[in-house]
Amino acid sequence: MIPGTQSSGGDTDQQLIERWRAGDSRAATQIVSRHADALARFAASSGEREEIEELVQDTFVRAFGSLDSFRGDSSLRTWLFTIERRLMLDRRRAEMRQRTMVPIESVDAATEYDALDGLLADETENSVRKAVESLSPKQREIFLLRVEQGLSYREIAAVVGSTEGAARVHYHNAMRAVKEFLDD
Amino acid sequence: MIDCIDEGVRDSLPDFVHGKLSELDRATLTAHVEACDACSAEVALLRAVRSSASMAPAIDVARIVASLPVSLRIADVGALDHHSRPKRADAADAAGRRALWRIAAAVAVISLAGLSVVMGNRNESEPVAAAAGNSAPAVLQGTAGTQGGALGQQAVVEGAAGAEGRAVASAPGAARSTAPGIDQSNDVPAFAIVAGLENLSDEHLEQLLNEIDAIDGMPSPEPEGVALPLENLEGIE
Repeated sequence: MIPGTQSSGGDTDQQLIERWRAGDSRAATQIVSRHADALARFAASSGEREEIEELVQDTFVRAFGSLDSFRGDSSLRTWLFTIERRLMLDRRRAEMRQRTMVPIESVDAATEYDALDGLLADETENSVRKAVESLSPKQREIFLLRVEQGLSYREIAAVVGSTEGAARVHYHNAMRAVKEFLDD
Repeated sequence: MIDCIDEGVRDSLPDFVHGKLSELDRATLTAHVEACDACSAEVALLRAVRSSASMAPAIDVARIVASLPVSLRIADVGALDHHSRPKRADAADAAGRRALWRIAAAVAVISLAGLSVVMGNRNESEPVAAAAGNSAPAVLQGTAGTQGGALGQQAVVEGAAGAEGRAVASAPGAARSTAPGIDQSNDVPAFAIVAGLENLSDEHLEQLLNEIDAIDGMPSPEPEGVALPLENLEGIE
């Protein structure tokens, strides 16, 4: 079970969705509370540096706008990750197009997220973060979905649009790369 | 950093870190990790990755919830449906009530017209009957009901002719009159039609038509009661 799919009160994500469909706005609050942090971490670990909260918000708006299409084949969190990932890809495509039109200095501007780097007092964690950042985007994404979010290979495959076997291979290659980075 | 040769165990290490394993699997893996340096180091690495990834900014849940689209409130839809249904029912009920009123009004008008015919004819015939010295009670012969309730299926015209009493005009198919006081053995009763109109002679037919023409169709202001002997109804089909 994905962490957070069931509240302490016993309501599963599916039950919360049904409650929301029935007009219970508190169910929406529970759903957002349950998954917002994971989405924010996923966005941060995927390289997002700006407006992570807006990204998370857009993810929920999209999700609740098309909640009728959620069949429950995967977990709600996996579905939310899939939506957020598409939004991040759209965002990066838009940024790529914008870079051809704006001065280069605006791209390198300091962000609020950079300030959080100073919070990494532990040298080990800093090294680990750099090791993860050294991964290819595909490896990093799958590695963090597995390690940080605890998704199964099947769920990872659903999020990234791949197969379980490919997700597993990417994970182990990423783990090996991180170890090599830290050994150097 | 070396890797454990047991790939199955390595695959399960992230689930171990996330606490997603069953009690049995967790106990088995715990024993393995404590004995395996490679897996112990990998578990530490996994925990460090999780810890390093907790830098995401705090999320304002209330702001996100406020931006969400409004759900299709099934309860509200049900309530709307509940409110709209009585309107449809009211319209149907009103239409039904209007139809019933129309039927009732039609029945009343037809009944009134029929009563007017009977009463008018009675008023016309009484002086004649009195003049003839016939004291036989008036007879109202009816076959409505079994014939579909159509008024006018039977026209009852009390006799206005001769010393034999009165005449009864009956529509085809109506029961033969058994009114007391009528001598049915007479060859030619003054105005007793005991069979169909086709059996009427020209004289009787003309007389009947004259009687019908004389009916004014208006009820008397205070119509008198009509005696309806039960024995007469027995012959009515």
